[in-house]
Amino acid sequence: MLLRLEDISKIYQSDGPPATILTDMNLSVDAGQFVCLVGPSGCGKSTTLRLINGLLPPTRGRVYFKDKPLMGINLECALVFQNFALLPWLTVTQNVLLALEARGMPLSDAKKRAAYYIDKVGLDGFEAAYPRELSGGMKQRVGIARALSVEPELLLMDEPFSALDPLTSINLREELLDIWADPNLAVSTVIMVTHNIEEAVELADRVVLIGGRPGRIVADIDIAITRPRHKNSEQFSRYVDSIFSLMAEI
Amino acid sequence: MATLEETQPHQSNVIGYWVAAALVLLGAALLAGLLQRSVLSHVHVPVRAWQLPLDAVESLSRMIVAYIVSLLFSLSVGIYAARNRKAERIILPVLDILQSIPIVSFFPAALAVAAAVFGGGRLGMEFSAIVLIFTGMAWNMAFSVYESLRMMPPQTVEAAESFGIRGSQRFFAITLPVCIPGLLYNSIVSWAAGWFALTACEILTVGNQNITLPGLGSFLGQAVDSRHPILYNCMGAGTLMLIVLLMEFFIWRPLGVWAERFKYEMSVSTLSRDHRGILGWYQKGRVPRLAMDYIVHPMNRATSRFLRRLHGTASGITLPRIEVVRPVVRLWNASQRLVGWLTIVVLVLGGGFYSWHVIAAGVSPLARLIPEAIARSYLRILLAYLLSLAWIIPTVLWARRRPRALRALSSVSQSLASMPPIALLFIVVSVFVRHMNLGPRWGVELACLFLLMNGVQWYVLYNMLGGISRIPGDLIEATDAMGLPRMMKWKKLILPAILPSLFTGTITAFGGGWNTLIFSESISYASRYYHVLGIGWLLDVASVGSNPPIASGTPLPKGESGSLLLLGVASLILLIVALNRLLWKRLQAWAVDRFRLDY
Repeated sequence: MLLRLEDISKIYQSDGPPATILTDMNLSVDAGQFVCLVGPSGCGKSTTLRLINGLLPPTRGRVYFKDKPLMGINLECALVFQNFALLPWLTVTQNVLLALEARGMPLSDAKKRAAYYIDKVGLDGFEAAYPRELSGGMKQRVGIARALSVEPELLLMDEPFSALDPLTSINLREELLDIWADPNLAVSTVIMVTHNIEEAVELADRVVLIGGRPGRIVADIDIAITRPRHKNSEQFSRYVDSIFSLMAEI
Repeated sequence: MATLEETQPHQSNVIGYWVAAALVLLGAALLAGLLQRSVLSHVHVPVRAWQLPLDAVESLSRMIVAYIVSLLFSLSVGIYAARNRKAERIILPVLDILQSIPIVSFFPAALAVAAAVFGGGRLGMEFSAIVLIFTGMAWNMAFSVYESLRMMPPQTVEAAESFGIRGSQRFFAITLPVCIPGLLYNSIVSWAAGWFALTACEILTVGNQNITLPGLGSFLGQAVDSRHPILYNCMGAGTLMLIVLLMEFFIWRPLGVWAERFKYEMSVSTLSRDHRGILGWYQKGRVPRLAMDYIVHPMNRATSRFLRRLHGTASGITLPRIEVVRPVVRLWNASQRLVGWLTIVVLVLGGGFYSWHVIAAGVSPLARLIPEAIARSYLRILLAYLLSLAWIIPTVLWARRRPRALRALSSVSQSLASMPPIALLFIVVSVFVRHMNLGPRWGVELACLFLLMNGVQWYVLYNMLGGISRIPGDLIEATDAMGLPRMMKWKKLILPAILPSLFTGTITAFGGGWNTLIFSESISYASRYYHVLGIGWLLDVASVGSNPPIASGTPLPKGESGSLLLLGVASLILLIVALNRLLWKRLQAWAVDRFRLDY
């Protein structure tokens, strides 16, 4: 068992009355799985991802990573952001290096590794470019390269494709699956937040539906379709339809 | 997104403002209580023309030292306020109040403290002058650091944390770059404010003594009483203009081009048109070419080199992650809270005691004039502000499509905003008081209004120029494409688009106005003292202590100056905080929210 969330609740205590975002959440993820968290907006999907990463502490309950309780930020995870979160004054290479250097990797090794992953996401030749010179899809490739380069055991993705145009996101989804399946790359487990149900059915081994206010797990569905999956197959649309109807019931 | 809520700043922090106002006031009381003490040795340097270059160098080095201190102060305080919610609640209101009260009135008192600590020698005086310049420079810079960090996209903060980017690596690669564009803009304003107050900083009045430090400010200050007042005045003012313009061309503009790389704008369409204009000019002209080749390009290269090297050394700097034990964290938090409360208690008790002590020493009959004086002063500032608007709005609209005119206007506003009021005295006094035969009252009133306008209008102009250059080009194209008539375009696009800048300009302009009052309501020129009734005059009388400068009136009894100063400043703080909180900040928030240009 790679990751276990045990009786997690998250309550925000800001100026107004306390707002309960998540309640009584239990979730286990095995190594090698591709899990998608789906749900209507504001249901706590992104909060769940940040609890897993350790960016936010749970109000109640514990997050266990490899059976050890998580204290602070989990550096064996890497996070990919919806809006890329790149530093505009650093080049592609420098943006990737930043994460590696934060982990204390010697510069020469870090450079080799950064070059390898930049190449892997297809940004060969753009190493010296600044983010503002890149298209949205290319920016997200930098975000993915930065996350992959730290060779995380768990890759967390927060709606990574929703700021991109449809064609770009189709391409990137395919590449993500290739990366996930590549035995040479360290990443084997992915947890991705999305509100796009078709995307979830296309990518995931398992779709976890979060809903309600406060949010909790409504359904946990194994997607038993062999890969590569075809969107127009009957099996595919059955899964999509059933998740849609579950979501409508929330 | 849920995490956004946690990092959102508090919008309405009204109570914090009143608490902070009380704290600043009590601190002021402590200072005012020290006013009566201290004896200093007399240092006087007669004004000579050949000294001018040396004086300029001395003033410049004082300004640079004060600026570096302000930079360090603003970075540390701004970052602390942005990271710590509790500190934020006190620091922000304190900065806001310090920014809008005329600190000049505390110069003598602050000086007494500095003299007590460092002695009355040259070193102590230099130190005091630098501290005084610092008080004119620091606050807005600290604000800008805080605001830049707050405006940073929350995902960037999360990315840094989730990848474990901390310590010096985080500071140099993320925190500092984020602050640079805002800091740069505010540095220009701060330098102008520093030059503006320079005369007051270099001619230090303690008790009944004038101590003069050699410098450009004191040169200007002494020129008015010298044998060739107009000649020396023009020489001093010319030197100052020259320095300001040289800095503009060889430091601020190149830095502005350099700072573009740290702006958080991803899309090309929001690039300001002004920036493109300046850049274009820099690529064509010969002198600017030099600035580009010898300042901007090397700085860009150095920055890139530095960022590269940073990656090399970061591994050595990164600290191991330590799991801090809960009780230790709790103890640390408790001790922080204790120190905070103790400071507040000491300030309240000490300040309260001193306030009582100062007021018990005797209240001057002049104190009864305070409400009327404040009302008159406010009307004067309002009039100066309206007169400024009357010429600035048409000018800015005219210059909108003329990049060259925009650049010229911004240079002019910067250099004239830097001019200490004393440099304009000879014009003011000779034109309004001596030649126009308006009688003693209205002549001085007009002179005062002119000086006030000089302290008010450049802030309005500067902000309006910024606002007008930030109107996105695609919106202008869209209105052109729709064939909107000119009047409609102004009404529908341009005026709403510059409204937020107008309110920001208004708030800074009124702050500038209050600060200028003390220099403009009482004028000492060629051994004569002119004044009009107003809070600036009252504070001037109070802060120079028992001996008003060449005053026509009777000198104040010894104890009464402290109480007059305290009461005057207290009323001012109350009025300014109330006006800002209840009126201007609300209007500004409304304008920013209603007419903001990101979509």
